[in-house]
Amino acid sequence: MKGIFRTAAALLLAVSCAAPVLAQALVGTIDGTIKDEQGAVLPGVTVTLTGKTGNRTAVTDAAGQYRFPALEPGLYDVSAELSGFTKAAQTSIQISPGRELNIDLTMKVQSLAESITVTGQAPVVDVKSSATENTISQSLLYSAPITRTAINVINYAPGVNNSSAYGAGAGSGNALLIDGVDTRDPEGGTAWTFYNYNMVEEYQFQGLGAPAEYGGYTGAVVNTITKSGGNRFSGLFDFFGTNDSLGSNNVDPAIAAQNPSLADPAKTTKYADITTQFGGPLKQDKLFFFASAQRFLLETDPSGPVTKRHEVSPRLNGKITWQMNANNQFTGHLQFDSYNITGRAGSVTTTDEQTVKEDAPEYVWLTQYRHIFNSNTFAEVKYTGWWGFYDLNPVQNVPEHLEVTTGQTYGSSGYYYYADRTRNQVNANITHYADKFGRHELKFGGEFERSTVRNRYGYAGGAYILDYYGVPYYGYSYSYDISGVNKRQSVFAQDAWHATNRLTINAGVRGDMIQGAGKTGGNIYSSNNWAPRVGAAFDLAGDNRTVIKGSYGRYYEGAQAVIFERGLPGVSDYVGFDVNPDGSFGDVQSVTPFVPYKLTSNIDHPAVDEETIGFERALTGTMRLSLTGIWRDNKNFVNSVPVGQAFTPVTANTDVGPQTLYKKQENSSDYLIQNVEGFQYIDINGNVIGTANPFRSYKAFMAVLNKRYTDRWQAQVSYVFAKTKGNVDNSSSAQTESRQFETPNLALVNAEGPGSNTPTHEFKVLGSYQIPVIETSVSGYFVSTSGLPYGHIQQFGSSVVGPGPSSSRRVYIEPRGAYHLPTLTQLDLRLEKNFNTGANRFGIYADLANLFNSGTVTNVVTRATSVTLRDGTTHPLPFGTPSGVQSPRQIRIGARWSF
Amino acid sequence: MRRLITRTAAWTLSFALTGAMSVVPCAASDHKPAAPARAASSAKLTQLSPASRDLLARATSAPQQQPPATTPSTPSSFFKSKRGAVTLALMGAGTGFALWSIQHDRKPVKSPVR
Repeated sequence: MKGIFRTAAALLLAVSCAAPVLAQALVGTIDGTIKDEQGAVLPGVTVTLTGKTGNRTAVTDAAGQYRFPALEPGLYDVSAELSGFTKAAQTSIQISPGRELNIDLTMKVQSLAESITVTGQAPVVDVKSSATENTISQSLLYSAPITRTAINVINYAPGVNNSSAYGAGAGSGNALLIDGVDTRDPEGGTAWTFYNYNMVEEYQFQGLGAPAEYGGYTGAVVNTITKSGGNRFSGLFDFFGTNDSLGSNNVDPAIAAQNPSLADPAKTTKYADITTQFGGPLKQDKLFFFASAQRFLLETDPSGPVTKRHEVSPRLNGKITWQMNANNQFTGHLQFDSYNITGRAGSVTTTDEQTVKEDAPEYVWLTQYRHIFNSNTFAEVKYTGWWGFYDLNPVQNVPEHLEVTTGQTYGSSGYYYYADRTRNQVNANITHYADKFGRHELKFGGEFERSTVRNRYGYAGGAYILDYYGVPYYGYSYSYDISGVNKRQSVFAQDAWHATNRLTINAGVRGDMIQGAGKTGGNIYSSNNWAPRVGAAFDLAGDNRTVIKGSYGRYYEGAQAVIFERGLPGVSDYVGFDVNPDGSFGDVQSVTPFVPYKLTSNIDHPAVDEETIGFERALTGTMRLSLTGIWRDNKNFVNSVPVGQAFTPVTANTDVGPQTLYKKQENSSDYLIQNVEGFQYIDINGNVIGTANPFRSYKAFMAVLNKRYTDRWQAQVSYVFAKTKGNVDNSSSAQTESRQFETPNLALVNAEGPGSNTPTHEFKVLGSYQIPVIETSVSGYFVSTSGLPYGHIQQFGSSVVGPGPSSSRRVYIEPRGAYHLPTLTQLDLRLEKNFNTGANRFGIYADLANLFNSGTVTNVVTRATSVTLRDGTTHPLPFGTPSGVQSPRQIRIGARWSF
Repeated sequence: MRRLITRTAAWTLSFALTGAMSVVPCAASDHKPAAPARAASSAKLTQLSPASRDLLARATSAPQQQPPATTPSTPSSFFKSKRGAVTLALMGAGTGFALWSIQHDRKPVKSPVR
């Protein structure tokens, strides 16, 4: 016992001395026991692990056990040799990050008939993990008709879509990691850096029951593992493209009649994605490289008057792996992406002169060093980060004019916007296996993050002008330049305690110390949070085939500047002034001064509490069924509240009848950012008219069937039944930033309802089959989801609800989520003819996205409005009018050579 | 200035990649070619029982699943092969095209605040 404590203390000390240290270790472990045919353990057996970067050997101990820790994701062979026995081996063992695979081998007494005994498939069920995870393997990625936008790959995971993962906020609650590099925007947590789809070795979707090493999310963790070089040369040369002659139109005439702005949908006029990739050894078993170059081009004819949108992304990647010796490895990876768009339109009425240019280059880097002390202990340190900016500039730097009599605009896009970002992280972790009171896999680590955010915005030409019958008469000026810094220090400790051969207890704790500050001055946001994690997994039959498991954990959101940036300086006053008929500026008529928000101290950082219970069963050697129940409750909603402001109940006439609303009594800008739970809204006499009680819960049942590639086919089939309920929607940043609680009209009136990004029923099939004889693969992705809920909104004038921005005057006049969109169904198909010669694999393929050209409505107008088209006609768009449909059928063709 | 930095870095990266690839034949010039991978695999397979042979064949037949490199090809033999030459040519073309695109497709934003 003392030994364990001594070891733990020493490791903790080592970690603290190693200084800033989180650290998802993107490695797995293979271990096992070697026995003879009678079941007796065999000590002294030489076990050889063969992977793409060479061999490692171990000798079984007195209990016949061996272990290979710190294995990079990929395929491995394990073989065991002992004099007098037939060599035993298991091949094609797929290692994913965080997986510990138990590979037990049985050795036979040597005979002449056979010199090697090959065991069957590696286990498909991890009987030691209490987490629920899903992966999309390289073989499935390679063959499936998957959308090549990297962030959209998340759509293929069960219970997840690119709007929400397990009930979490849209786009902002997921930890998006590429080889351990956090690629999210440090402002709001959305995806920022992108990468070559062909670079991906494996996608791993985690988040349910994840151990303490994972943090900084309230949705899911998306681990993207990229390819790297090995002893074997490999290459991929891929061309994929389409044009407008291969596209279709799926807008029903009846829908176009309801909403004429849908009558001219965007068309893909040119798409060309070219990848060249090459990897291999620089020095056998020692030094490996992987290089990739890509050029992605997409040209479209957008809806409306804009004639061309041109999007291009040339990317270069270089990766070096230096296997210094069996115990030391260094990895370096650098990506450069020069993302650029011209012709970016704001709406269906935008003209070419009103578009913006987007310039968004970025660098992503990773350096990593791993040291294996012995088969029981290894450590990893990495420095990762990225740098990039995102500029939107009007093609004409002149003011935009709004003709108030028609609603038409002209001149320019009306604005410029520049966003600068950096993210730097130092991560470290140490893993130690101890054998006291069962077996322990102890892991300690931490993360040190510094991220910067700078946003600049202003009106093009310095003003926004109003015209009356073609004559300018009034203008506004407004701009901001805000800089913020995220600081985060995280530590974790966890143990996977294999109490018996069949029972594993997973316990851990994670601390996230998060601060936010401006470019100068001290912290204006500070939050220290500790998250417990506990789980258990029980090997039901003791045969590595069936496990029941459960977990409880708290997961804190990542560091996001969006929480505190409204408290930073740098925003100009909002100034209104006269404009002379010749366009020159006249006298100032109004000034609305900028008042930065205040923040309370000791804010509890947004989090989600989660319980899961699961059952997994290996149906065959390559097929796994998993059933999971999920319960999630979001906590610590942070938002701005109207301090000292009074509201008076009024009866408003809405489109569906009278409704009690609350009128703001004065034009105050005094807001406080805090945990909104318990905030009381008051009337002019100080009486409480309502109390904020923010909540959002998620309950789901998830069934997933996975079939590895054998016998020419593979598949992932899933069904998820889910309910998200609350008075804070799972729209983007709703848990951290929306201004919902600045008025009781949004906080208290018809606010409760289902999550608008969680379908109740979701059925997905992703699979492929290789047809024999003609050697053609057929792959498909089928998805069917029940329609998403939406609500009925009406905008009221300041005479009804008092002064404030229009967003604070848009109120649900019926319970949120009272209506549903239609069920959405889509089938994508890929056909690929293969020509294989030796190690060369040639393919010619075609993707048929939305094979049946379904035109289901995906969005509707939730607040009655109208649209004035460029021909001058104005069309009313009442509540419920379709405003978006599925993308039409598009055929894409490609050719590739890989080896 | 930003454009200069971007271009410089892009070129540096491309030089690094190209350099790494060009170093390969030199660095590995004293390596002896190993036996071809397929021949070794076939030899191994002939020693297996039919059941094991079938198991092994099925396990390694998955598309794009690269079996571990038990008998790696050496850089010198690879780059002397037709496949190596074509690979280098295509990589050079692809990298060059991406670099050309970086130079020509990019429309940097011109603004007083940049």
